[in-house]
Amino acid sequence: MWIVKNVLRGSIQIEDLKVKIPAKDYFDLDKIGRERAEQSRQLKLAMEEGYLQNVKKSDPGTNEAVLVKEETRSEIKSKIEELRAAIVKSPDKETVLKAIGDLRGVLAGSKDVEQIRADFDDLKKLVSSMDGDGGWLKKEFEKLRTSFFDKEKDEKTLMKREVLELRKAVLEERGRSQAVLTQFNEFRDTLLKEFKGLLTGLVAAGPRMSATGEGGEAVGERVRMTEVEIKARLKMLDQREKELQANFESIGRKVEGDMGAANQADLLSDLE
Amino acid sequence: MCAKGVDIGTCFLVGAELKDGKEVFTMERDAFFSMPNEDFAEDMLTKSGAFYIIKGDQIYVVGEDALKFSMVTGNAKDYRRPMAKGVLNPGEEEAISMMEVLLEAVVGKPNFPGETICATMPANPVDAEFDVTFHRMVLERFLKKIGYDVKCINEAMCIIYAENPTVTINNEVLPFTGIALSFGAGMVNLAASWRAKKLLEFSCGRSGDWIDRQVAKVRSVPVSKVQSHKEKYLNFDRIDPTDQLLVALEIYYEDLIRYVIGHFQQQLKMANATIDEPVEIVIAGGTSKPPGFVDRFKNILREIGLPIPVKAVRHAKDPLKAVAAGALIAAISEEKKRKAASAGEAAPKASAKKDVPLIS
Repeated sequence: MWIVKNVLRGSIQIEDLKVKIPAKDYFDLDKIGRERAEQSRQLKLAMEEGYLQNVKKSDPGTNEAVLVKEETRSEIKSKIEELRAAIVKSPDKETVLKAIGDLRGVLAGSKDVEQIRADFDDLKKLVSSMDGDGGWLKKEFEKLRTSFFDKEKDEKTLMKREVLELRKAVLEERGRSQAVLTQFNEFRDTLLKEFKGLLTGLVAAGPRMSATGEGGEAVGERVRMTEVEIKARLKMLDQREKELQANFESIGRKVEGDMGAANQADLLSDLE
Repeated sequence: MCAKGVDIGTCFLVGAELKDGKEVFTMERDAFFSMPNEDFAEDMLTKSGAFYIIKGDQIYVVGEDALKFSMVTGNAKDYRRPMAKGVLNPGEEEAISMMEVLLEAVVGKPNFPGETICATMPANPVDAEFDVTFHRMVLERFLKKIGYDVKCINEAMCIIYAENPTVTINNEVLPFTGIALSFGAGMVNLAASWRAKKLLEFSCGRSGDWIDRQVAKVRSVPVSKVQSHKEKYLNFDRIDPTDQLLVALEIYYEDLIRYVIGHFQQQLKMANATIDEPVEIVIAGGTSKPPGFVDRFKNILREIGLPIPVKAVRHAKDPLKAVAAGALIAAISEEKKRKAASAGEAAPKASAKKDVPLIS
């Protein structure tokens, strides 16, 4: 990968390479061959004059796309189980709907769209097999699937374009600012996290919504609700603590003791 | 060595720390009394030197003063407790807020960020539906928030650390090996330990408060009267047969002891436990405070029996502070290990003696 940016407000044409780079746009010179690009005098001149700016130039032979994809897939696999639990903690309809909406956006902007088609089909089968009050989920899921794969290509392209633009911007900034790179990585991680979490969340949410009063399901529901309740209550505590005004900082009757705590602690730490 | 311990009890909060090499305990009643924040309420409380918290249109008098105000006003309804049955009181709306204020006021801010504090937690009860997860999470979160590095430990294990029961096997004395019972206000906690390692733990959801309620019910008197009578007059060596409250207290105390030993038998059987060497049982907690309690426990234990040999039953040196002292010991030990590790030294290791488990 050898990406350059045209920093001018007009397009640049490099005749000996037969390449035209629009204003403020990027171009991967490896597409026309590294060796050929390196021998181009016009390119060299454009670089020296500062018309073109080196954004990224990796060693020839490094297939970065493959490396990134492998890393991403491996990360997806490793995170699936832990994120499944995270989704299960918010099992209400509103959350699942939001998850579907977010998933839709993330999928539209993902380069790995076609690779998760199989996962989608699996999900569709799961959702289709559900009974009970999971009808709304089927509907939403089908809408998502139809929109994503068949009809709303424009939207998909638009969102994909936005993500690519962001990636380009980050690549541009990489040479100048490490901070922006970090931001990009965080953004990428967030996208991946949401994608993986929501995907697994849909799988996890499916059987719960199809529960028809079986004993095991009922227990599972109760446990999850308890976790949700704990989470919600803990969140509320911060707010409630601010409402209190005490007229003291310390309280209590102080008495000295002689229980040999220091010696006992020595004995205990020696033992452990 | 800077580290702290805190016994978060149903009736009392007891903080413990070392100051100039001496143990200092801070004790406060785990209670509050609510009243409307009317015209002169705050002035009146300030003048009387009471500790209070204002929240909206309510004033909460906290700690020992709460009990005083309840008694002075004759209003038992507004005397409230943030804890019940050993955990945060699920029926008390202000439980968490009040507990957090009290807890911070008792243990204070950490001496440095990340100071170790060991906070006592009950074991899950064998006779009640609830578990202690929420209780633990809330208190752990709060102590972390004010800057401590928190370690939660079983309150009965704290008695083991403080009292150091031992067992002798082949002329070798094994420290921190035995059984401890904490008779608190809300629960009885039991732990079996082998060389400071917890082998068995459980709790029963009845203890001192349960006794008070039962006695109040059968004698048709307020619970506060039972409590007061118990603290003043109950002595198992001299029960006045004409005092109906004392007789009822004796009956329910015995019932509680039988109940606990019964559960202990069951738990030992379920654990398939085998203990070959006679072990010591150490008892602590406010409910065990009346004179003669330990002898009564011994008598009932002898009558019912346990599937393990018992060497002795003894009272903790200070039954009200033993749990906090044990928490402090665990905290100091933890801090020492951490310092040793950060100094690049190998943490002190146990002797190379082969670890033959006492309970298998």
